[in-house]
Amino acid sequence: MKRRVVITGLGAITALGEGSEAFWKAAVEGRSGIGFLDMAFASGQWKIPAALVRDFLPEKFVPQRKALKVMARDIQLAVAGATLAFNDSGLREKPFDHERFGVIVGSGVLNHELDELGYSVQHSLDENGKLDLQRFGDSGLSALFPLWLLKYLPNMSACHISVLLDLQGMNNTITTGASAGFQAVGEAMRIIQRGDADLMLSGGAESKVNAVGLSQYKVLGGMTEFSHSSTNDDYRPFDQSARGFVVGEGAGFLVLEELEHAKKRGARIYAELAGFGSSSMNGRQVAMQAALADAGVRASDLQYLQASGIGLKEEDRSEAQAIFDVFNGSGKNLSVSASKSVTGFTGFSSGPLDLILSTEALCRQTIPPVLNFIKAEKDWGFQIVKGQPMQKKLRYAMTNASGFSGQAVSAVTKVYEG
Amino acid sequence: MNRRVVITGMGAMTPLGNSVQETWRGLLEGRSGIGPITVFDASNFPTKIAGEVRNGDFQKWEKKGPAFDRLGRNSLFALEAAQEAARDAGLDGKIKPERLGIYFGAGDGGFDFPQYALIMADAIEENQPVDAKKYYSNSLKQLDPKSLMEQEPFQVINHLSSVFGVLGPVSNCLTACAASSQAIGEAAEIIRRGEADVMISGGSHSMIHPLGLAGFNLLTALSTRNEEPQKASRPFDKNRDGFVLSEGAGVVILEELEHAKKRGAKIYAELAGYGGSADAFRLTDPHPDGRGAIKAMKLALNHAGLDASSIDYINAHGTSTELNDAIETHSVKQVFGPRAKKVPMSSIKSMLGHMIAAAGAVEVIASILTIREGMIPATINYETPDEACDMDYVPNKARQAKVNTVLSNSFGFGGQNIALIIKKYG
Repeated sequence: MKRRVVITGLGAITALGEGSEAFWKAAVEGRSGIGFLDMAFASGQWKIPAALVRDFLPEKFVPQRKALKVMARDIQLAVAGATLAFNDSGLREKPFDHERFGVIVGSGVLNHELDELGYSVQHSLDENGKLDLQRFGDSGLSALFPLWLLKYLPNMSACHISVLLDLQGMNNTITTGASAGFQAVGEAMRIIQRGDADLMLSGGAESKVNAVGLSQYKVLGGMTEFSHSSTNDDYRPFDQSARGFVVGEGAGFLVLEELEHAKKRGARIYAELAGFGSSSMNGRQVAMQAALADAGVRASDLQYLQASGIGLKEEDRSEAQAIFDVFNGSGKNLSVSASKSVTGFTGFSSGPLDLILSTEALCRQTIPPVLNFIKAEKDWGFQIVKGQPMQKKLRYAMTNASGFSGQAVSAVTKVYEG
Repeated sequence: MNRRVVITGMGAMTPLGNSVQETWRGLLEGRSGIGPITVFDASNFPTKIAGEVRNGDFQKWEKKGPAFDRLGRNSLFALEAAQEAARDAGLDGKIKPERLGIYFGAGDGGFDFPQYALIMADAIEENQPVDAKKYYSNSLKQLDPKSLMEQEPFQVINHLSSVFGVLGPVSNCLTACAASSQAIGEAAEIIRRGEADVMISGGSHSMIHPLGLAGFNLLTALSTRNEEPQKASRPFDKNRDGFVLSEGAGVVILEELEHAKKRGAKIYAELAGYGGSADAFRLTDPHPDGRGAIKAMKLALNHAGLDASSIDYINAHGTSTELNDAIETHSVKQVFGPRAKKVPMSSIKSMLGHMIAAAGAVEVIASILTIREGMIPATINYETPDEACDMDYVPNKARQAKVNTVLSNSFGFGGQNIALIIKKYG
């Protein structure tokens, strides 16, 4: 008998605030979390558009100061997002089998704090101001925080979550780039389906709103150039004038649960995770088709697709083309949305955040608009939701994650019908 | 109907040689691949030794085109080993792209610390916080996008998928020292589910760079037996003082049994069981009772439909750290009962050092060859017994034995435990 997987907990932290409700409200109201990172330095004012999680209080989620000290901001966000999803699922109050509850987190290279490494570099320079590895091996090393490595290892988010919530089941960390968090959710689904767990916490978190992260995104290409002082409408996925993304930070986590297990404990079921597909970075179509086949759904059955929509012209075009090809003329009834102009591009967490949004959309039978989208460069044969949220009878949603050298991932969710 | 998964190709780049055959020969001879660090000046680090891959034939990759001209060691090792494995399996582009997938356990690529320090140095005034604005503008002038991408742990799968034309499921996991074992376990599950017929799996990693060495040294996890590099990795020996960092890649081609038979592929062995768990205890130390390790081994046995009594050999995680070796021994004894002391268990990390994310894949390859050739590689440098480690570790000399079924353990830093079971085919 096939084991079905449902979503029973949502946890989001974005520039719009704490919780999936705050994210949902901003998305339907067309509010963006993008502002300015604005700091003063000797070399002058450093002002750069970003979607920062302001007022984030990690100590609310991790009371142990010692534990907080060994967590990069990405890890703190991951723990917070996972805790929110866990609390939302109602499992905090219920007994469950800790050996049948696992964790999969989408992660990657985490950026170190400038001053932490800077202090060590200062102790490692020769007379000409160049790095001297002999000095680094000696005084440079003693100037580093002894647990420095632990603070930035990609798999530490999943470890901290397992320790804090005592989750002893399968534990994995997926590092497939921008779609890593979404891939993590898909793999968590498989683990429940094959019977290796009844419950999985999965998602991702990323914080690249710092000098190291921003400079790397800038060098890799893709960050939008700002022509004026207002930040509110420069990030515009699928628009003919799309110019790139604004970097955001956040966490998105979901509790996945085997259907009978969820029913037995009287869990709130948001939606069914019915299909999943993944491919390589050039395989957007393959991933979408695999997800549809896995869910046993035809493209023409879909009314709504939450796109990756990263806001890079080439990437958006290639995603739109892939959607067009998969729907093969049947896209007239398809409404497409994208959320990154609300949250910024949040890397490893972007896929799970989109899945949270599309799950809310299924529950509320409402599709949020693509903020700042006015006109596509051509008619793609499907509708891009603009301006106002759209009320629509929805049974299925497809959610995509791809782009920026990440692998292509798609999932199909379904209104839970018993 | 149950889809069974077999191994039809293998490839390796290790401190003992740049192929499976060379590595295996070194393992049977009981040679150590550890020596002084040469890839950067480590002369003032607490640890000055590691297991480096030497004399790789890497130039051919750079000639492949602009996407390949800045490859890091991570990518180069992976490409070399994958090419060996794909040839060994006779893939030759014969597999349908949608039915060919990748699940890898590639680590993060090296961080260019000297360049980073240069950017940083220019943004620091003495005893002041780093000037982030200056750091940012320096970076834009000096960083190169391709080199930057090589840091990312997903870059390896991007290269592999483009070289081998992969359109099936693609993933990469990075669970520290358990990564490539977990990748192989998950890759096999993808085939069992029917999502793919052939998977390229394994891992590659090099943390032999200034920040990698610094990080492990600060955690006091590494051996500092700098005067005797070849004796530094000594799993289960009483005088062990930490693991030895090494680098490389191991790749296996996993294939659905009927698919392999139909195309007349050579079948090395069957991947029969996979179990995983989390300690959920501490970041740095394993659970003192081996809670997670025991669970992972039991799950793998259960998955393979086997009892512990059918295991002929255990390929240990055996890192040569105080805690790991004692707790692994304890955990195995809990799973195997009184028979534990009769089951040979060796650690090839005694010869290869610890390839971190790539370790598990090379250990799977060694397990397969143990079954096929009836030879168990030794734990070298085993001199002084430790009362906490009282099993048969196949000390110092490879041993002839009939082996049908192997349990291979991998335990990740942070508490991920993976156990795999490899069985003789036919």
